[in-house]
Amino acid sequence: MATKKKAKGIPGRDDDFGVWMQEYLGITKNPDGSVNDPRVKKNKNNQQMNDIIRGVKKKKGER
Amino acid sequence: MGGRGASSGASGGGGSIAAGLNANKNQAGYQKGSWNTLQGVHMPGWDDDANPAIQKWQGQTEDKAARFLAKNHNDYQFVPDPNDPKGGGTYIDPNTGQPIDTSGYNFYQGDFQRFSLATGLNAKPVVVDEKTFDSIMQQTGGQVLYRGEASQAQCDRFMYADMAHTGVGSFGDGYYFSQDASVANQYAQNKGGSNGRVMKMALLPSARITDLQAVDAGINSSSSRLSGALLKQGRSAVFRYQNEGQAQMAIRQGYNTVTVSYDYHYSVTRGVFLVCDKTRHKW
Repeated sequence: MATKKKAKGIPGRDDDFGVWMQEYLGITKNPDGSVNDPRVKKNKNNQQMNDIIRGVKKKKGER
Repeated sequence: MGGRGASSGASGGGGSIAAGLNANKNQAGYQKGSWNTLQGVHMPGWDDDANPAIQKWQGQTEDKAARFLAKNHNDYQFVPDPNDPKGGGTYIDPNTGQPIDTSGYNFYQGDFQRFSLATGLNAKPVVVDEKTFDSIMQQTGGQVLYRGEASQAQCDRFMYADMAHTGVGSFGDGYYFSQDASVANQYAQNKGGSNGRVMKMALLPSARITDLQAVDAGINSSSSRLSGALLKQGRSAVFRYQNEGQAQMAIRQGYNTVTVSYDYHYSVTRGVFLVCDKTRHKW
């Protein structure tokens, strides 16, 4: 897993959390449109991410 | 409940991704308990309480949608504050010629703010005390999320202000958040120093979640006129990295929350958040 780089901070105001996070986490977009997140080998699919931010726990044995 | 997303989900190549993404299933995703703690508390619906302007945006033809975006851009004049070196300013009401927000707050210039003004997409979040928040999280098994701000004043604006400041973002405009508290803590410290604050929050059941690729697919399958208008919207933001008007397209597709990576997300309205009224410098 890649380490979080030290964000230089983008000159701007104090409510640009999303922009700052993008730089801090090193998230970029590939030329094909896919998102490149250096911290994960393979991005989760949408349902998995949906479950994560909703706090849905997997049942035993569920992949 | 109307709008394109209500019946067909994400369009433009997001078929498999859209599968299973409906409000009922999302609600059923919680493991235990319910949201009955908030019985009687108004929770804005996924379609901004059947907001007619939002429904119109979702249902109108691509040509009309492109014209609507161009009209917003022209209608809502932005007046920069000459004393703000970072380009902040205020928006003028096209009907009265007066500033829309009179609190003295300086907004960023960006077309998503104009879109929100034109559609009235401005629902406030549900704000509760910490005990209630924690209780709901415990009952529902909901994921606690975090958003960093540079000051308590920024948090108060997010929670209580009549006119929302729609955030600007790299992959679409909106209110970015993460389930990683350390990221929000770092931001608060970096931007606000000792004044930095972090809100803890969760998504209300009304959140309808899609992902960036499905939104991009929708843009790519749109007419050149609409995708061009969306791109212009995204490029109007102060910070624009890969902002191609994804927030506006997500709404058109019937969604209000977009995941970019596993701990990097945004919502296009404050109205999908349950927020704890107690903020901290660090969680």
